[in-house]
Amino acid sequence: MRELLQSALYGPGGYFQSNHMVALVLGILLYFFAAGRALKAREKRLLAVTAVLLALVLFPGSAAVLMLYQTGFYSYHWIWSLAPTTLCIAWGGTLLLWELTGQQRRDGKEGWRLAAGMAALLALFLLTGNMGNLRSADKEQETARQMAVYLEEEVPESGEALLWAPRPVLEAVRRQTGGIRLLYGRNMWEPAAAAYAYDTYPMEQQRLFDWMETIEKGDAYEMPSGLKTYLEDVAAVPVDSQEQGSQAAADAYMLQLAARQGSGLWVFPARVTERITLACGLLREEYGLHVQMLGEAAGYTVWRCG
Amino acid sequence: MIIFLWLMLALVPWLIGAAVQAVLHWKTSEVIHMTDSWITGSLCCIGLGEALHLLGVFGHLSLGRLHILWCGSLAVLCLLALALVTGVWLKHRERFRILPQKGGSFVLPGFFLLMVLTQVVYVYCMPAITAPGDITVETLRSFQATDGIYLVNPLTGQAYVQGMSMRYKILGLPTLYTLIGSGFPVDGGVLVQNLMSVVVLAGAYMAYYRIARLLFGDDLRKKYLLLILVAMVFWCGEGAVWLDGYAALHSAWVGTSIRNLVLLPYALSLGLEKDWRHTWPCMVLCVMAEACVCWTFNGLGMCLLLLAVMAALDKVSASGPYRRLSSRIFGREEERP
Repeated sequence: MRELLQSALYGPGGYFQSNHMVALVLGILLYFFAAGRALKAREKRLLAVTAVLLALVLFPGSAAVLMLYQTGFYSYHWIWSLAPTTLCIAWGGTLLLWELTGQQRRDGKEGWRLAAGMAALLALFLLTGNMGNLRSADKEQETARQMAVYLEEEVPESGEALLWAPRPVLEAVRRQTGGIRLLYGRNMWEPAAAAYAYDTYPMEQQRLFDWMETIEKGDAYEMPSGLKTYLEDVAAVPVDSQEQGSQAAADAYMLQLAARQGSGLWVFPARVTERITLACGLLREEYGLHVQMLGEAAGYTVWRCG
Repeated sequence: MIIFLWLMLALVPWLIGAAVQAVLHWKTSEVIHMTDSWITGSLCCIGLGEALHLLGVFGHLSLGRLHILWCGSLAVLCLLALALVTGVWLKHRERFRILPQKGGSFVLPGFFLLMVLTQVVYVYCMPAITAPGDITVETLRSFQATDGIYLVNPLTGQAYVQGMSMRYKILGLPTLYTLIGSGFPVDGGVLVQNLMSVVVLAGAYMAYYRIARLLFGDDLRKKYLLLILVAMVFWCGEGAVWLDGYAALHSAWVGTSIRNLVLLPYALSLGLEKDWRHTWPCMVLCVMAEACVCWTFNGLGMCLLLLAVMAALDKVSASGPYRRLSSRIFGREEERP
């Protein structure tokens, strides 16, 4: 409850940062309450409901209770769904436009006045609104989707073996088809997606995820400390060593770990093919596992183990 | 086939909803509006989808069987509704209003339609954004791959080890989408993220139109002005997941978006009517539909809370002190057409 109260206390500031249109709602409420305008019964009820609900979401005590009511799964910002902000802005905007642009005067210019008023209101919306989520084809997502299509259509092994791949490919594969099973899914790195099931991942699979992240993001990405410790303690591989041999040993260890976890189909970025080939050679020598490359598509390579 | 799917999505909810509205207003001679009918029918379809979903989860029925049951139930419901609607229509033709009343300029309706059209094109044609935490498409794919409901974890395709939350397990929205798409050659991702988004967006405007009708009566210009401003708010406020604009333009297929865009405005419009004796069945439908599509507190959701707040306000507003306060703030109620 204390956490909820804290969240409710600091939440309004965060919400206001994401949606300045709340100021318009407050302005509309203030105008209609203060101006003492004659309103119809339903309009009064709408105003009263909006005011009460706004008070409920703004006051920390009631906001905390509302958060508890909405299961605690959703964050503070979601309780604002209850307050009819969009409707209040649209209704108040309609009445104000009507009044301020003199729509009662039928002098033939009321349409132009309304258009000008709407343009001014649009400018106000643009100033107070929050834009920026353009639906567009993300290049990384598109190549991952192409890889998913390739796996589904060109790689018959994908229907049998567990797939281990970089994050975008795993995301795209499950969106593309239900026929390919993954070693781990989106719930590994997205807490909101993990809320739907009680299942958790074993430590080995978390380290495999960490290793795949380092492979995918390249040298600029610092190896997570969990993976570093794991490789040093469990695999007895000196991670900080600059020798190519120690990196290949670490890679081979992680590959055999993936095979032990049940994954027989691997996808890696094409730019690390040489590194993977080196690790696969060591994998055969050290662990007796045979790996072969099945193909290449959309900037990724596909490998089959076993 | 896609055109047929569009037609089904438009006509089936309308037909079922019109029959329900005709039954609800059997003794009165109220006009049955297309928007009310479509929303009511959609809520009934959500209920049917939920019933089949529960059959699939707890009765372990395969998706193929559920599809047969879905088609059969819809056919029976549509036939019954058609008979009922035809009967009422033959007696009182004026009771069914398909299009808004005539009269007035075409400028504002035209501008509103243009704005909606741009949103529809944007939602239908552009690639979808991944909504945080949303696993609807993955769930639909896993249902199709396993021919069953929640047999595997949608995110990995592997069997559950420790199981899943019961509260999540009973949410029927992915099953509803799967059933809608099962008879048509449409890709699951496109169906959910593009096609259903348009349907929910249409539902949102219908709910807001209903409110506009209640607030402004027959004043067409004000009604369309309100809808235009709603469309503008959607365009300008889409930068965060919890905003209505984001829900409308980027994640309309998600349960919380359906709640925020359609169910809550619809519940609010029902509450504004004040005639609770006639509106309570639709209120119940609204609350139950939310429990079917959203993760709520043991089935109690935002719609119920909103209606409870409105009911409490009604009680308070009937009291003397409030009336005095209200008359001081607003003056005497002005009678307007």
